[in-house]
Amino acid sequence: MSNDLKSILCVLVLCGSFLFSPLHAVLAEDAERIMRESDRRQRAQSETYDGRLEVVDPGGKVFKKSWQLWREGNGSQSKALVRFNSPPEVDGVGLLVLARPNAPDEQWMYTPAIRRDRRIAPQDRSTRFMGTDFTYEDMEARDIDEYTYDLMGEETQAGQPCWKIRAKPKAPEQSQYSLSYLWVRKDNYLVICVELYVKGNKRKTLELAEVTQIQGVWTAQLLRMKDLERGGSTTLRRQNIKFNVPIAKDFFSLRTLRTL
Amino acid sequence: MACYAGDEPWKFQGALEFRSILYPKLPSSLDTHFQGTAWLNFSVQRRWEGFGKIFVSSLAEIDTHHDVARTRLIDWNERDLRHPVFRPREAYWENRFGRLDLRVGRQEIRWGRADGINPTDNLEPYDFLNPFLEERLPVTAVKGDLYLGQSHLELAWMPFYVPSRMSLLGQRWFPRLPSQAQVSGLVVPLRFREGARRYPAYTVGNSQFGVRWNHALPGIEFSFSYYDGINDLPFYTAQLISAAPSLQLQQGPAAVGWRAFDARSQIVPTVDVRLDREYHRLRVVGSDFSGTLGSWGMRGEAAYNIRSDDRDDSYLSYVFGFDRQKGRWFTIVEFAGQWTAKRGSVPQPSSFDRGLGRALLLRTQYEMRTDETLELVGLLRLPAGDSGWRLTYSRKLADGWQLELRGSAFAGNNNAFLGQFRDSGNLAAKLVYRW
Repeated sequence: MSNDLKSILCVLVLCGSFLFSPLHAVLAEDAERIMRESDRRQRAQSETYDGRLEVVDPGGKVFKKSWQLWREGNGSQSKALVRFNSPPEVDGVGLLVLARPNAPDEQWMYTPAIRRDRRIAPQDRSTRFMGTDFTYEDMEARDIDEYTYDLMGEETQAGQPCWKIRAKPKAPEQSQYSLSYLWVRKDNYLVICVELYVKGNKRKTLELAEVTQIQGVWTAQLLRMKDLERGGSTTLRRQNIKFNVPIAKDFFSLRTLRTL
Repeated sequence: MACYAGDEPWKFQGALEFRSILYPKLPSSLDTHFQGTAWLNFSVQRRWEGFGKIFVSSLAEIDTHHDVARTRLIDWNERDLRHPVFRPREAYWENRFGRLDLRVGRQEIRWGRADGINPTDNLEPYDFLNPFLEERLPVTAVKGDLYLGQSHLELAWMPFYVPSRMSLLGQRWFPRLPSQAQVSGLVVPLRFREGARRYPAYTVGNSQFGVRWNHALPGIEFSFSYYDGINDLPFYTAQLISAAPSLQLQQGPAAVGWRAFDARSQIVPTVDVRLDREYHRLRVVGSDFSGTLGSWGMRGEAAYNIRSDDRDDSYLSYVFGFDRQKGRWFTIVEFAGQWTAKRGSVPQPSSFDRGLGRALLLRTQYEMRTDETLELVGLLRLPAGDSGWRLTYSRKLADGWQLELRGSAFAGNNNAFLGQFRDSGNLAAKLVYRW
């Protein structure tokens, strides 16, 4: 075989390798790129907001709670402090969460009625948070690196063109959800809908609505979680959202939890 | 600057509570089958930028069974046997000065990281009119909290002594006293009366203080504490007030009680015994911790009580437990114990600080629905086997309204610490409105 022919064959083999690469590897790469861009666009060094919560139980009864939240950092470097304002029986109850890289979060709850703060063991992540349809896992900031992603195509969701992405936890034993589907808006990379599956069954849906841009960050002011198995739903309305607010260095501490 | 929750200058809160308790049995003629109580709790808070906060709360109470003294409107010192109609609860000013938080005035101070049983929690006395309602009595204090990195130093000075309010003599919650004594083989009825209450004088020498150093590490926090003060529980002494002059009253072994006899060993009519109260100085060295082990929480506390009076015991009291949240269940299991280092000459085993001895505590709560829970609490003394149990159903009815239904039962020997209350099992209902 002449050298020219060998060279042509090498080029063809290389081109063929490229052309016939598994399609999902390309799509996975796209999906991860989309998720990273989505995460990047929503990252803020800090965040505060007033939250109003409505929990509708399967019987249709409505329970309301409101809180203030302060957050600093992202993912496994984040710190958060929640202080409940209403109803009166939870007024003053506080929750402090300090994330730790490669370790469970540290959490404390302060109960003003007994003047004590109490370290809380990491819960079963499927435990509902304060009686809502959000579990402790739902409340945690999702770390992009903890999932693998696949692009499932494009769909319209809430009137917006979106990418549909499937996410699977890399460590399945650490998540209550076996997989989730996310709809990411193509214009601003905001996740506006999530379907959460447990053992292959769709268990919950999360809708993010009233999308607005605040201080350059696209954010949803309304989150609605529906628990399809329980039959209830929780709506969280976020008001007075502020990003990148300077927060005192020692703010996320037991001192603040007790005296706020 | 981050927004703080205390931005609103004024804050008003209140609670109206109605409680009824039904006792099927009457251990004594002074007890009643039914008890109804109404409370009105009101608090006001005012914040100022740079000046801190003033907080005032008070409680008004009325009842059917005269735990509330109709003739006493206010009792600032909390030294009456019964509740006054109107009780100031807390009234303090607090402010932050750099690393120091300062709080001055009447306040609640709680120490200890264990659940339910806290041997190091000695700064704030209890209200034992009904010992199982877990009510506390605020103290006047100057308290400082100094924050230094991961350490937190607490200092508290309490110039005015507040005793625990004991259950009423002769009624169901007072520790069981012998109803009779043996006189040379003959039975003599005993009748106990409330006697002198020798409270410590209002002097600087009778003030109390406590210091506690806390430190937090990843996954665990702990503290060491020291308390130098006066025992909030009384030391009872018995004085004979019978008419027979030659009659003598002698303290027997605690398990037997008092014995009454005269020199001629003659039958004596009912012997009146006066119970006087003294309050002895007390020092407590303590420690506690809380941490996590996987999905389990761990908590422990220990306190060594050093008594100044030879009649008291010096002893170590400790508790250790685990807790776990799994789905809708939250469970705590604790083991409590005591070790007597020095036995006093007149032990008082039925007192609320010594009576429990070695025990197992179980608390488990199930979330039935949003704002609706069922809780079981059990206390089992070892090895005596007497126990106390409480089942509580709690439900939010509407905004601000909460209903609680509760059943309590005690089992065991009449002479055991919990068994002595076995005729005081009850059903209770509580309705609360908060705003």
